[in-house]
Amino acid sequence: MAKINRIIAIILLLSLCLGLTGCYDKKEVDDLAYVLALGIDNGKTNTLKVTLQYAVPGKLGGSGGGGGGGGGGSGQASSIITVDSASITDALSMANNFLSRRLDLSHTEIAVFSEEMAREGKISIYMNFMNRNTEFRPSMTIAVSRGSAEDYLRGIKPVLDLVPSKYYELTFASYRYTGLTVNSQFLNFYSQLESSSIQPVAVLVAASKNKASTDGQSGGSQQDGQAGGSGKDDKSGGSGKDTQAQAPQQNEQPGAATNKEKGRPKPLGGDFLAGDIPKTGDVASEAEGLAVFDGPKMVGEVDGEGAMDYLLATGAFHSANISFPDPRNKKLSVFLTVRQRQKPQRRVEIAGGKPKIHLKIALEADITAIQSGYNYESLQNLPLIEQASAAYFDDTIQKFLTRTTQEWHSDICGFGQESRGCFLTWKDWDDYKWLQQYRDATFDVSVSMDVRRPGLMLRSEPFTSSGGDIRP
Amino acid sequence: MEGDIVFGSWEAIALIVNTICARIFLNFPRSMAEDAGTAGWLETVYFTIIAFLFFWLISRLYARFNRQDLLDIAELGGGGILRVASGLIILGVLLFIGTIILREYSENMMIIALSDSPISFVMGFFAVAMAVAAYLGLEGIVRSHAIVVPQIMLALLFILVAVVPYYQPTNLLPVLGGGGYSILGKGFFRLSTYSPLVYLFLLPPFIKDQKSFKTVGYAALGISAFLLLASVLAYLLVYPYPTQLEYFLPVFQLARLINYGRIFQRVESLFVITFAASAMHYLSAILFFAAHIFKKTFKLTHHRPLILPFTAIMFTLGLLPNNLMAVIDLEKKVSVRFLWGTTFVLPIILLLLAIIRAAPGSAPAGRVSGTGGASGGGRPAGAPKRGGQDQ
Repeated sequence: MAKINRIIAIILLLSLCLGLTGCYDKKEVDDLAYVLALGIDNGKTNTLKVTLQYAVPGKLGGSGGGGGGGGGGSGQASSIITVDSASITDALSMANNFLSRRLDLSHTEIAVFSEEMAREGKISIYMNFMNRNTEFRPSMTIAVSRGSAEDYLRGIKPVLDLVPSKYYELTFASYRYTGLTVNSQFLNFYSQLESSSIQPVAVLVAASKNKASTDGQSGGSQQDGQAGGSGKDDKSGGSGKDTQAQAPQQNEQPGAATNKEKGRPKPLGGDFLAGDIPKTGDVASEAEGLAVFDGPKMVGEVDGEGAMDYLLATGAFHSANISFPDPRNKKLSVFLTVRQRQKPQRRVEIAGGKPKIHLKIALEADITAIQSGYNYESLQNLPLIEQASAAYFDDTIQKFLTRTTQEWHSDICGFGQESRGCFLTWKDWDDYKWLQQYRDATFDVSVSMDVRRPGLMLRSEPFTSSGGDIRP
Repeated sequence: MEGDIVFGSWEAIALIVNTICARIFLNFPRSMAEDAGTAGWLETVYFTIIAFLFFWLISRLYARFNRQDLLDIAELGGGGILRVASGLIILGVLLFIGTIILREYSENMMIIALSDSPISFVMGFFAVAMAVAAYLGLEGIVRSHAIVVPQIMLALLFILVAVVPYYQPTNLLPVLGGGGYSILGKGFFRLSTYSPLVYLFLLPPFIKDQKSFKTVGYAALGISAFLLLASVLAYLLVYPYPTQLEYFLPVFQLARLINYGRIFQRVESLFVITFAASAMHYLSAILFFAAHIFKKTFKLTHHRPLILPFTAIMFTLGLLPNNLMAVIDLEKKVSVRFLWGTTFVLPIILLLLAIIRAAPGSAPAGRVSGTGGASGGGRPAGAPKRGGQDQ
């Protein structure tokens, strides 16, 4: 009897092993096409124009002679298709009709929405799908493209990275050492859309306006290859559609910068929005700055410096190279590599029903360059650049925060999260209506800077000539 | 042939910890957020304290009874009628929970991994596993628990620790979340979270003595409380309100966030294994105890012939709810409201009745003085021999 029982048990266990093969749900990697990037524009013949960049596995590793991803032509590690459809799921189904492999979204690195859609508040319509679907990763980047999302994706030609997904990962992690973009993962973007204490932001991306930088790329949108910088050439190629025209507020002049409105004679690295970076080269797409949302609607855009202020205020800042006017010679600059010493101290008090926000930011820096050659490294002079750089940050952050209240009415830095500490229950907090009160908020910003290391030089000596010492 | 199974404290602790903490992998953290919002962790602390108080009281009352389970005590308190009534109540609860859990686990598995499989296939997979385990008996089940539960705990803790970079302490503000009633009022009924403690009241015949009973109870409660609280805190710290209300598989959602570089990511596969292991063990325990209670309630000789019918009943009933939302709603309405009564109130009533009936002058067989074994062999008249391991 016992023997029979054992045999029955073994048969039952073996039947479990059959179940473990998961034959109903088998997915062969060879049968799938992995979408790396998703671009969503307003459609012309239908509701949406969905652009899908998917990996071409046989070409990964550069064997195709294309030297990596992007583009969409033969020999490239990725290909791009655009489908006019009523929804994202429709687009996937339609694309599956002419692609041999089933499209899979589990490796999607970025979802790019056009600025036009973002400003119309249409992003929220597609967020539910992304949040519900198990294939989308929470770490996927959400970006807003100045102009067409299709153009942005078609302009991507990673020459350094053989694997296109690595291009996206590294590009959107660059905020950690540039401070000019932000980390807008889907996880945060979605929860901030629903939150009553913080509003979402997204990385700002764009197809570069410098057409000189593009060569005639296969399947790409920019085929002219004209010398850039003239500001005349504004036609996007590719599908032949004038997709650039969709950007409501995009500055059509390549190289346009935000320095003038800040009272700076010449632009610094953070004085550009995506698409406006003056450059030449192969890469026809770029990211800089951030898109500001009030709920699902995009209400503004911020340049690279604003993105840095955002990172500093939220504590997401890692390090960046910054320059500010030399305290002794305003025409020259001092360069520092800045790090955030500790998370910012953020405190909110409600005084007379209005929010008062206290923000203390502690920074430390290494000296990268002193153009004037003045000996700021000495202990007597060091406070000069510490105070000047602290005052620089103090000023830019204060202005940035004021824009969030006065211009956008949007608490993108999430001070509402701290303000919840002023209330005991959620109902009390809800009744206060923070997002409405935020526009009346005042700020008390204080930045401290400690210069820690001088690089390889402990002392700056003037250059000498027959005419004596030379200081720039 | 009657078995004579006695297992150690750790085996019993592992069994109870898994049956309590299996809900972590379902929707426990989200339930806390739904009740009390940002104060979900306070609610967990609150009903945990109540559970400890209840267990303290029950263990004091239980001190008079050595190696006698709840049905033995029911018989002491009210004879065969009370034994049958108590047995049927507990059986009903186990079958209900088993059915709900079987369907819920299967549905969850379909959502996260087996989206194309028919629900009957996935449920069948779990049903066969629990039937085999129950057929092999309690000893196999608890020994397997003793080995697997530490691994499940480590996997869970790994997930909770790995998402530390996503913790945002301000997510716990406002401190009182949904307010006093949501914490204290709704929280009381969440005592049902500890309802699997009822297995402990069925285990005395299998564990060494009264001291072990208390040790197992407090240790299981303590470990479970730690894991429950840690999971709620992690979930609330990562997902802000009201987004935290949306995900019905909170730990899975946490596991999806783990992303250390380009190599170490997509750790939710660890969740799937942990989830399945926990589910298999939980369902095995439920099925075994359902058969065991039925046998003991009606003084049958064997429990094994009951396993297949009970499996079939749970499988069939499990297919009745129209969808996953209906299952979750059913669990919320019935389990949360009533299960705490079966675990904490019913034993107290039975113990008090047994104590009254066993008062000096009317001491029945099985009345124990101190902890040194029971008179009459430590077993009440008419109660089955310990072990219950029939063939």
